[in-house]
Amino acid sequence: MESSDEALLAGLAAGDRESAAAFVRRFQRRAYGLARTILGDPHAAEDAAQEAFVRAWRYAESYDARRGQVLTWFLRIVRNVAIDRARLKGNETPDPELLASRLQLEARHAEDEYAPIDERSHLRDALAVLPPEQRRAVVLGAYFGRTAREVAEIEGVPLGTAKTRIRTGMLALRDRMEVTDGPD
Amino acid sequence: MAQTERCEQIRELAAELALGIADGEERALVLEHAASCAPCRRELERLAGVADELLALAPEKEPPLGFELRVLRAVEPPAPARKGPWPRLALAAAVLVTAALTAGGMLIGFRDERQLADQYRAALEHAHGYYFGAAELRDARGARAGAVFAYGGDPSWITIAVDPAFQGTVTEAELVAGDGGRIPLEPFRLENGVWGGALPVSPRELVAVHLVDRDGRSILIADLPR
Repeated sequence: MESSDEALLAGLAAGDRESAAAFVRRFQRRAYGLARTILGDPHAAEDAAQEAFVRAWRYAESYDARRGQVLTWFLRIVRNVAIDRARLKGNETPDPELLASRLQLEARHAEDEYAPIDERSHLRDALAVLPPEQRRAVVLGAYFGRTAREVAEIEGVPLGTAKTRIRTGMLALRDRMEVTDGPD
Repeated sequence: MAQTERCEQIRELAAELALGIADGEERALVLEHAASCAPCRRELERLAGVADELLALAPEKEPPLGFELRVLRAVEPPAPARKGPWPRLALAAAVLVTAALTAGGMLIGFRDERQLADQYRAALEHAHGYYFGAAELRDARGARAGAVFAYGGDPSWITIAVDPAFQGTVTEAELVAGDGGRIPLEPFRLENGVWGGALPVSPRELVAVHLVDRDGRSILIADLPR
């Protein structure tokens, strides 16, 4: 029987080589894919994905199942490492619309075993139908770690407008996800 | 229940916090409120769920050949120093705290560790504490470059002491949470090599403290004991 994500993470933390190998095999395509999405460059993405696994190993004891799945915890680590790397290299401001369209095109063909396909595809659809300025603000924050102030500078709008776009966009996505999930 | 003005203010900021892009002050404001307001906490959790799912939309990609092997080499034993105990520093730090709370710092001469442990517990109780940890700051080559002391209680606080050789190059400090998220300590400015201030989160949520130079590089790191 296949081990749970939590069991593999516990094994990774304990230094169990088989668990570590299984953990890497299970999440490496996810890690590398997200790092490529954020960084673009294959070599930088590989370095960032590798660093994310090292951090997962070091920080495994801090994982708290009450705060989400292992996958989402790990993807946050990948995102944070990739954003750090991008800032360190002084990467240019990414094109959020280009990324959003890639999420639409590429993810539709990807197999997704970690969530019901309806839930994730609904979120993808909700992102696609957001007003473009809200979509750009949300993508800049979620994938590239851009603060509201940075979004305002990139978009050439006042800080308050950038904050409103981020908030309104996130609330619209939340509403769409909860419609999909059904009431609590 | 009608929302309070405070709840409105917090909900204005919740999306940015969920995305991990709120600044330190905003983050502290939201978390402090959410700790005692269930509806706002629930709202924050919902938005954090959206942020997580957004990341999960990224397409999977096959990494280059040999990736798995390289990762496994990187995470092989020996276990990192972080996993070992920090008895000397923890005890030394306990002396500092207890001395600060005890008139005249009479504990300096104590050699009995049990007595010291009693004083440590008393110091925690005195300040409603539940955590006290200390860790060495190390540079890229692993050399000692200072120390970090973190206290969980009411209030939670942190003190960072940097050796003279690095005092001119450190410009910022960041807390690293268990999920890798960074929380800047602002405003950060060393005074005689020392900085101290309130912690915006519980030290139990933290795994490390990074001191950063003006180019944004983490030049000194302390892995906090758990």
